[in-house]
Amino acid sequence: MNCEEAIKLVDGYVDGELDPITSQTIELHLRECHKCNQAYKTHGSLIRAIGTAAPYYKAPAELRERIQSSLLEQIAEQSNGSGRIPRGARPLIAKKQPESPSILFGSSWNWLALAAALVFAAVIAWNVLPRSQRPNDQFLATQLIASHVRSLMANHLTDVASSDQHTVKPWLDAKLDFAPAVVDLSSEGFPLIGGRLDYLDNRPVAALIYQRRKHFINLFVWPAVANETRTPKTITRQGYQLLHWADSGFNYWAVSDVNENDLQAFKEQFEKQVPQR
Amino acid sequence: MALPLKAEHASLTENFESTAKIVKFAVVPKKHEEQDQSPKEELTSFEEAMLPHLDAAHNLARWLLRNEQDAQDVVQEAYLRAFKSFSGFHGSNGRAWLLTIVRNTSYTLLKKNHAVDLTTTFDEEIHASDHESVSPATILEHSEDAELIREAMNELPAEFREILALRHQEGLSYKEIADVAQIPPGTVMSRLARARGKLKECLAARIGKEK
Repeated sequence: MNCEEAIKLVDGYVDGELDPITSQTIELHLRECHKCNQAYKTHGSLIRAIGTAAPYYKAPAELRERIQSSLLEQIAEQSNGSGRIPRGARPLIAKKQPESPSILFGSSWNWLALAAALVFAAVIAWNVLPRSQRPNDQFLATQLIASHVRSLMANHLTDVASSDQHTVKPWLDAKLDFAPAVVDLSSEGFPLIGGRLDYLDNRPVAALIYQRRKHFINLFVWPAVANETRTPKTITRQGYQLLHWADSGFNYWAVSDVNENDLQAFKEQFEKQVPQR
Repeated sequence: MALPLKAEHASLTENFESTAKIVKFAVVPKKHEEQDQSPKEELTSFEEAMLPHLDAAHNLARWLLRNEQDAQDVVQEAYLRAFKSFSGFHGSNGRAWLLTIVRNTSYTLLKKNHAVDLTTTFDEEIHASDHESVSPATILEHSEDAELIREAMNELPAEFREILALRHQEGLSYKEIADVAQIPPGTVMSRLARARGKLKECLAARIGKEK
């Protein structure tokens, strides 16, 4: 074996992937040729160094949770005969899923159970709850997530793209019949990206878009009804976090795929910065 | 306004199924006892078999895409794909099977984003001039610098990043690498040698610049 042949095979030799006969031939050559032996030694130690020094990117814990919940969702949909990819999965490469015709018809409920539930809900609503009661949070949560996902899908994250609260606020004020508070939280790690109009809960609402690292937070704001609950609540759905609170006569719903702690921190910072009236 | 990356994904219309090249793993018709398995049980056995390889999947996607958010999205997508075809998987090497799907999903996204640097012609001239003065011993001295290695590796084309991660971080055999990267087994060694050679050049160029 000459030097040229030996150098060609040295990678396989270092990796222990050569057949025994070729291995022996190389060994013989390395014993005889000082130059090749030197090259082999540096090459080998460099290769080992790469193995130990190159950063290994372990999966973050929330990725495991995200995967598990999207798998669960997938079997739930499969057992109902539709092989759709769950919304929460944000399909990257799959065909764009057509929007469900409506939130109720799109889901895979048993019709009898649905009818019974509707009747039951109607009876309760008629007898117990005041007329002005808002639609239940689950329904609203579905709408909120749909809005959030849609805003990230189409070229429609913002109607007014600006990190300046004094640009976003007047723009929204002019389009809505209320004046939501707009604050920039750049220094707290949640830079303002812009504002958007949206339609939720049967009324036009303001959507403020903030960024957390590479994730987006949609903060939906609309005036609260007087007797509405003021206790903050969190909902986790399809891998999205929803956080609700009410303050100074406004309803706030923050929706994002950031983790719960980040969203809580966002709420606290937002409340801290909002001018009290 | 620069659109967020996520928004671009939505406009991807190519059907993954038509581009996936999972040729190494034949789909065998379901056996009778498996058809009786409830979806829950199937999910449990899938998770037991595949979730242990989550770190490997994430690491490969992260090196290929060079972006954390994309890597996570691709890994999630790959797990969903893997689960769908899991009933047809009867091999013994779950890790290589999963990594193949992760790799295919990553490349589909890279191609869609026109970020495929498969064919990137490496500018040897630029690098050659920089590293001539850097001796192998000097490179070795710097070889524990994780940040330096990361930067140098990220400079390489995707096929080199992939093969280095598979060999040096996952410790895959040449045969497994051939399966995952879908190249003939005979070319694994030469590709690995070229990848290491280029990495050395990139390291030398970076060290040369620092001096």
